Amino acid sequence: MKKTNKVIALALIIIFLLTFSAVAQNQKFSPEYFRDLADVVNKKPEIEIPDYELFELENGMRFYLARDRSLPIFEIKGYIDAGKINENKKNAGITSLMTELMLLASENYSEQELSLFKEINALSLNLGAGFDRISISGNSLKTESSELISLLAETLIRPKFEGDHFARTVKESQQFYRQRFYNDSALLNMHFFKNLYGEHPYGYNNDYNLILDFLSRVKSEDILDFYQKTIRPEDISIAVSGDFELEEIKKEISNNFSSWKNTETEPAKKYVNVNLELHQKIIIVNKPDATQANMRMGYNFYSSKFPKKIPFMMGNLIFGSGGFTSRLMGNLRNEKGYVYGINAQTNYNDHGGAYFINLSLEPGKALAGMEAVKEEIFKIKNGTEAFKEEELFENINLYNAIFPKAYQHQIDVLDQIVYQKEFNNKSEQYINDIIKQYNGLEVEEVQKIYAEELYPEIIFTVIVGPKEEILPQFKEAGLEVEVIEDSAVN
Amino acid sequence: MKNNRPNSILNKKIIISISVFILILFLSVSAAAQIELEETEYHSFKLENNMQFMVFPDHSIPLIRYSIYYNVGSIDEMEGETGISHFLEHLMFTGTKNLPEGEIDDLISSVGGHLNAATTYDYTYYYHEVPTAALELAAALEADRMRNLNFNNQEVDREREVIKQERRMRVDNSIFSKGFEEIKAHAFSDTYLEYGIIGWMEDISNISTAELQNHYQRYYSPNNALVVVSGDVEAEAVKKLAQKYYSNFKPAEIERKNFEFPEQKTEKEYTVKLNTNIPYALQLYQIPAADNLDLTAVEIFLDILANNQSSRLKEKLQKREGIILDSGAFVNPLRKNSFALIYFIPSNPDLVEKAQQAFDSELQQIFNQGITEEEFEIVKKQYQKSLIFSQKNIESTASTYAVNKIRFDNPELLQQKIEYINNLTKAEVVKIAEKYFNQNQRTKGYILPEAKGGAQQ
Repeated sequence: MKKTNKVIALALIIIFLLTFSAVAQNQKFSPEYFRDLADVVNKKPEIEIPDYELFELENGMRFYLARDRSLPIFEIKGYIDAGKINENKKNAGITSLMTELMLLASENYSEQELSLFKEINALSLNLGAGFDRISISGNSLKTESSELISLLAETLIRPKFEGDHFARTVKESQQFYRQRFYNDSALLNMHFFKNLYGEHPYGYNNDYNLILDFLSRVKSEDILDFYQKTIRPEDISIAVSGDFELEEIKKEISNNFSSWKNTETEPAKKYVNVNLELHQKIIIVNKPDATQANMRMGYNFYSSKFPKKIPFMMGNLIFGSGGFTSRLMGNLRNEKGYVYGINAQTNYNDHGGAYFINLSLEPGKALAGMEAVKEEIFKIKNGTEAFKEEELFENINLYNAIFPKAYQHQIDVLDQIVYQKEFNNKSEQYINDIIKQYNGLEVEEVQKIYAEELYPEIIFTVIVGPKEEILPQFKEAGLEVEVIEDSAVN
Repeated sequence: MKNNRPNSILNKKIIISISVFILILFLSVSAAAQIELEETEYHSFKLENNMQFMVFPDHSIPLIRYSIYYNVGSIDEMEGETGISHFLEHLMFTGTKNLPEGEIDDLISSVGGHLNAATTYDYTYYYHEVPTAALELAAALEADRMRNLNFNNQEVDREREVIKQERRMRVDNSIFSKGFEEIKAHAFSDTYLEYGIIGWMEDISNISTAELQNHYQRYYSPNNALVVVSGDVEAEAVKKLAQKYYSNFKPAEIERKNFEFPEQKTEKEYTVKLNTNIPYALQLYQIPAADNLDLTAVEIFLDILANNQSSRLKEKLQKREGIILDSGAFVNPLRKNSFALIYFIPSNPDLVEKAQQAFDSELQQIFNQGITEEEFEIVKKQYQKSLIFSQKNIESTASTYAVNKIRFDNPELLQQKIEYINNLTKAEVVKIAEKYFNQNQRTKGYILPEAKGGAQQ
């Protein structure tokens, strides 16, 4: 009995100590305590490349097929090697209008029939008009995979452009483009990119006046003509992933697409010309009812072939990822309280890119905000606050953690394989090559490359906001500014 | 035109495939099955202080999401303190008595994670997405800031400026958000839905540090919190950490305000004039709390009326008559009575009245003639698909269960909804819609251009 009591007493002491220890831990919180818990280094991930089959039709259409039975679903993602780059000054906006119409009706099915077919079978299909490519994405349950393929064929091969849906869609587009003159972010996009890309399809496509002019005279024949020149089977590559039988899906694809004939036109494409007059230029677009200054600062940048993309990307994450620990957020939000969010972005297009910083702030702080951004740029450019090893480590560690999530689903890996192999001539191991590349970077290299590619002396700035509150700051500082008056539709 | 296109010639193969296409189209309508939901594996437990935990294991990638939900949102706020829940959410990142400002972000970033938060009408939540090995870090950081948050006037004032800019960006410079805020304020004046989550600019400017501290002490207690961990984790590990970091926290008595929500008996109308080219028409209706299964029928009704591509409004008012540019509708589910919004965008300001009449007529037509079997089956099929696709991502499943738990302590509400849909008839959908979408309970709101003219129409 006595022995039993001792055991119980001992057990109680142990329990008490454990409890006490748990409570005590709470009271011992300190920076060191947390730092010990944060001693986590993520291992370099390796993305599994799915076992896929490349199925090519005689007309050149290519399908990357990979089964995935984890869920009873069917997904497609792909690209048409055509886009806004194929437009000219007289038909700016035609790619978006064409893709919208392609989804609405076909030669065989009216708009009503087609939308009903999609909804009864719970099919999703979208086309996205990009600068260089038109993206395709769609999905269904596995039981409706045949219907999704049929729908894709109707959309790509037999779209109908004439009819009531054409006139209505043009009218709707006109109204939505007119509305952009009342939105500060849309105005910022227009005035920044139409100037930066200038006399080039990328520039025309950001000029809403040009698009409205085109919409006022477009005929369905124009869309059909553009379609016939740009949507060609040999320019289409599609990733297909899901719960399907390989031979059955190949048969479905052949039945639906093999009779589609090639065309012989190859649209011309050209590079963006850099306009030196934009360097250091500041434009204020007057929007008297705005209560903020919506601002973008940047310059022309490299095309998608830029060889230093990965080190530049890591540098840009440190500088302006938009995360709380990035340099720009640290200064303009955490220290100064000027902004809610701020980030630095790169747009790599096939024929010329852009680098820019986005922020919005109280109108009275526009100049201070612009100067604070430049100050942060100079700290890196001059090396007075060069990137630190821990900043690079943090971002590499983050990417090592999130890469597996970004490519958790087979369709996303397959999509990347299609894009890199078909349009960038890269291997199917491209994602793993990127992982290797950023893991092998040294902070000195990232600092050097990033600093070399920062050009504060050529920054072009557009600010949309109330001129009355913004302009005096710039005048007082002796800065020359071009003012564009309120959003008139020409 | 058709014959000019080399690829539009209907060969035999295509004719066959079209026949199959049509056959499938009509067969599908009659082949609707019962909606099924594969059971999600999760574990839940509660500490003695009533702090709740849910764990959703999924070991496909070495990442976890550690979320903590507090049962407080904008509906809990007092007059003059609107936006205080969201303000406090910002302060939760500024530092604690044990960690200087910026350290929480730095620590999570250093492990390759990221964190953020969101305030809603009826709950506030914080999450860390971190590698599996940083589970304890996330648990400890949340424990620390649940009890030891720092309130420093200088940081409060700086964050106040950030929030004011957030409001300018999200509300004041967005035509729809600004118009909606004013219309909703009129529709639900003197209730907890009068103001938005971010609060009135005047209140954001005036909320004091002491008021923020009171709000924190009142609602950030273990018995008002739910921790949800999803991803590469086991329930046992979370249990140990729960015991270690939260078990000694004392529960608090949470005194909530009186949630008065008087029944609307006559129709209201409100117009906001803004600098816009296109007009917007908004119809706001009162709906019950989110655990009332009537809301499921309401959602089905709204898809048929305004959301689907084949919906009544899109098919007739947009495609056939061209008097609207678009339409949509949603319910705003809350733990208390809330609202449903149906909107349509008249094609130009001169068509607002005509579009309104046409909308009223479509609504009445559904009440008089009902919905079709086809419309009903479309919604059910889409619902089944969305349930299956939601399984791609454990986080979205976990969040559905968590919200039902924090609001009603009923994580199985989703399953109940599915059973309800499986037994629902189309006549019941219409009957329930009639109950909530009657004119006396409606506020008609319009966002119209300040001045017509120019090259706008």
